Amino acid sequence: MSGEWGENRALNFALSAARAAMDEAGWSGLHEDDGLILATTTGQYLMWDQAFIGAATGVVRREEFVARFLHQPFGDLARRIRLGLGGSERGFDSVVSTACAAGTQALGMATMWLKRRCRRVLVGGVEVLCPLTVEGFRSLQLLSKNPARPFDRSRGGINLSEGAGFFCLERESKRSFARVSGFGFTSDAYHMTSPHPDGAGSLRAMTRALQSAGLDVNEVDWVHAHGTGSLHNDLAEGRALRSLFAGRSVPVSSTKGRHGHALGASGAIECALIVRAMREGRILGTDGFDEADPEIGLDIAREDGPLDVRYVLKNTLGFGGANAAVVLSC
Amino acid sequence: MLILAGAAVSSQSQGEGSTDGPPKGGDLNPALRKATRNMRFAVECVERALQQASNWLGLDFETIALIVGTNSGELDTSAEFLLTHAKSGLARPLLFQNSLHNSTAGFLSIHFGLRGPIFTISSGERTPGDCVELAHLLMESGQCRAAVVVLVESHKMLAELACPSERLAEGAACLVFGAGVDSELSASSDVKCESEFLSEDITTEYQVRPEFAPLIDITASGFFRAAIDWSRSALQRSGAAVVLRSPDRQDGSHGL
Repeated sequence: MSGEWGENRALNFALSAARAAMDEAGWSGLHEDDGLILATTTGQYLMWDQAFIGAATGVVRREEFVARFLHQPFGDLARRIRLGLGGSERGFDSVVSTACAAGTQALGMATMWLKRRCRRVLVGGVEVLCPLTVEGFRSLQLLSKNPARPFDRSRGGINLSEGAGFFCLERESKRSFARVSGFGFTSDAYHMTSPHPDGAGSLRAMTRALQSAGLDVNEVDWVHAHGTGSLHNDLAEGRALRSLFAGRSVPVSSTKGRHGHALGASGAIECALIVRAMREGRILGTDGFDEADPEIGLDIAREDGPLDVRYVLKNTLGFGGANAAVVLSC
Repeated sequence: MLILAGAAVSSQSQGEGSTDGPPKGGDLNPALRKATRNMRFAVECVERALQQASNWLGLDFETIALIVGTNSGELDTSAEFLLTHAKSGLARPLLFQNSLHNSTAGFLSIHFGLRGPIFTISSGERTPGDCVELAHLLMESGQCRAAVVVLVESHKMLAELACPSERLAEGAACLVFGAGVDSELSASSDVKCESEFLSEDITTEYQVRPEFAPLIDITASGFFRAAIDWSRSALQRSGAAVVLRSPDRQDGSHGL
């Protein structure tokens, strides 16, 4: 087994992002009564799938695969993150793996934990590029050869990416950068890899998130959309947003043109961008957006620009019809 | 939070006479032709549970959450995808869409029309407790009024690789939970008597047998036992026979 395979890319991403968040929050480490919620779609598949092929083809000894790689992907990753952050073997850990909605779901779930289970939750998502997802998305003809162009008339698909985003959430905090004010989760029950064409499930998730926040739709200052750049996602999400705002113009952005689509981690990474933008009093633009798709009909923010943002609606859609939305406020 | 229904299916991934592949020909329900073993285990289980809880649940499936807990997830399908690609250069879309941990949850929501929140949780041996707690939190926060929690494990290829001479149970267990609203429940004597099965035991961790670790025996949890108990109780009340079988076996049945 080569040293390269032994490197844990997902763990490194996660620890790096989590430590940055903890430094900013003033957390010295993870305590036993702190919660940890990890969102990921493929976790440590990069190690697992290379090792599996090696074992199946005789390059890697079966005993080595079983001992080191058999079940790398999930619960083990959360445990290693906790240990890497100074925590002990015991603690409240949970791993959410609801495809591309996972990161946003995890934020909502952490909010529920704060009400009942613990006073502090470290929550985030991590994703690594691996042959399974790259070849898989290619087989579905969803990948763009060029940088993604969310909501653009000539959009040609998604760009896969990798990375991590983490948040330190506290039940009560004297210095907070933002608040998770509401969340909503639904399912399309329609198709394994395509959203409902009317965006019906996504609309219900966003509506629930606003209800959960006790917010009227007119109070939303900015929508950070899922906006993958795929034909079907952007159409369905556009229809959902049009129905939600019913003619009201609200700036809508997707930042996947600049950082790609990190699948299960995307919600967490993008919420981190949102919080930073809110603190800086601006909204983020939509890289790659040039010509509006008349079938979408949204007020797409092209460039970064100043705006006094109080409430942001973050929306996500995932394979299997999973929809999740959160309202972030400052 | 009350238990409204429960069901479980289980089989061995190894052993004489095992027919672990999907059934051939037209015997299989067409809706399950593209389903993985996980999906078939889960569908059979959830179908029974939803039937039992149908009086209480009604037809409003937008307010029913679906939580799938799985440790191995669809790693077998991932392995099949990777092997096919390595050997032939072909990346099969169906295998990819079925290879993610969330695939079973997506498939179940489509199969049963469940449009409430869907989650896939994969927290190792803590998965049962995490799923039950999440069901409770979702109901408490008003995201749903009932939750279908399904634990499912199938790991035929990995089990053969890890422990070729041993047996490791696969299968699924399902409990349906409802928010405890007395006025609604009073109309259903079934629900009232079923609440006695809700206990701390269902949230205990999987007991992982060292010789199989990290693969998990689906039957090694209080959640699975509660689902079995509930299923037996419900079937006795309805007068139906207790037959729990592997969804991909044509011949054998497993009495549990």
